[in-house]
Amino acid sequence: MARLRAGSFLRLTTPVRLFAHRFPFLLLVAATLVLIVIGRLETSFAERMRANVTDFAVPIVDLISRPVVASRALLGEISDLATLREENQSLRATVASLQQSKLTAERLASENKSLRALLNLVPEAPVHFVAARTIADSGNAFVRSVLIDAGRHEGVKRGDPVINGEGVVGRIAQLGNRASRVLLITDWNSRIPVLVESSREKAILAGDNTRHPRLRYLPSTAAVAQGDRIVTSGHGGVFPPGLPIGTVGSVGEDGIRIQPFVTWNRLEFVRVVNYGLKGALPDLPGDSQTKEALRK
Amino acid sequence: MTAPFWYRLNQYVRNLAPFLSAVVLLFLTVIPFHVPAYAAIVPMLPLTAVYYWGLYRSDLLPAPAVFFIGLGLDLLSGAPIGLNAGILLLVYGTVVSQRRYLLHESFSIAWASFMVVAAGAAILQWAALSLLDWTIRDPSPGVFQYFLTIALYPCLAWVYAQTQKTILRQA
Repeated sequence: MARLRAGSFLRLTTPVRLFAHRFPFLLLVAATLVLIVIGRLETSFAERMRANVTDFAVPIVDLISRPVVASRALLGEISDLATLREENQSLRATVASLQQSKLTAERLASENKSLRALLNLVPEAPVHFVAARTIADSGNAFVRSVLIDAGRHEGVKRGDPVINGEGVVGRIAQLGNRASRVLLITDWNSRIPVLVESSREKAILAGDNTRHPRLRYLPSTAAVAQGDRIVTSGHGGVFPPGLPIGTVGSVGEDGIRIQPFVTWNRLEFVRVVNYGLKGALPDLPGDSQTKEALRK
Repeated sequence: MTAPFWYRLNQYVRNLAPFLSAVVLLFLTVIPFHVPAYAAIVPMLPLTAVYYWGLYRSDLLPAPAVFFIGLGLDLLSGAPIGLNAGILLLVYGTVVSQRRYLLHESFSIAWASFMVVAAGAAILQWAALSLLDWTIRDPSPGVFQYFLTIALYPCLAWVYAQTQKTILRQA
């Protein structure tokens, strides 16, 4: 009888003991769910945690990436040697044509200046640049962002546009003391008010994680052809007007896709630009607001 | 008599190898290789470590360690906080619960079961992101990421096995 009772007691307690054994594991799974909710609510806690971990990890990531950078530079130099002669020739040709363009630009700049003076136009705000190196990719198939080694200490602000010599790269989405995350224009969450340069038609450049973001909310009457240049429109107040983004790559059934000027796999150095604009921030990801403002 | 201090320290450091291997892979996931389109299909390297060590030496990679590796990946990769932590924990829980069936099986069976587990993780990641954004995400980057991860598993498993043979055997 006693044995029977002990047996049934054991049978009863087994699930309890199993639960107790797995409790720490279940607790951790519950913690991840709580973290997802906290992160979703865009609390300052989640933001601070991200910034602190990023600041802490930046020197480590930098250290680990050094051999990769060095070997890449070596390979690059070897391949450069092979094409030196042709490159030299094409560079000479480019210099000649650029000198022409420079003369034109100088003439236009002085003309512009005198015309502005005539019109009493409000002078443009001084621009503040911070140059930075990209130190980490997103490391995730569903996120398009990079980490750069400049943060609050270097004067970077959340929402600042990030460009390189080719065009618009993205904007600062998260800010740490020594590092910050740039949301690329190809990311799912990226929405940028743009213009078709030739026709001045307004639209929104919407990333969808492919290399070719889409042009959305373009008026149905707008005529867009392959090769048209797309630049920022300046609406929403995040990007100043006129920054080059790319050209129209394809006009098809799945919409208009843009070929960005930026070569993503060669994104080593970028410039964070502070134009002193106070636009649709600090409500990042306030892209929805920008979008709505434009729709109105 | 307790073991001498240096002996214990040596053993302790050796026992950290599984965790450290996962941390190194975590950093390798985020450093920029500047290879065209690589960022879009970067393999889930820490997943292989969590699977292997969960299967063969789960005593040296406890659930809290897996949690922190996942959390680190979330914070560094810009993914929603808790997403990878949850996925890695679920993978770990699955592997540990199936340990007794898989432990003495051949490498090909272990690899095949990794394919199943990684597929579950990939689907979960895609579904969670789609749910969080309340929109159906294009699953193709996840598919490429999955195939790259399972293709890399044999190489990484070999490295883990060597670590197990050399560093942990003497521990």
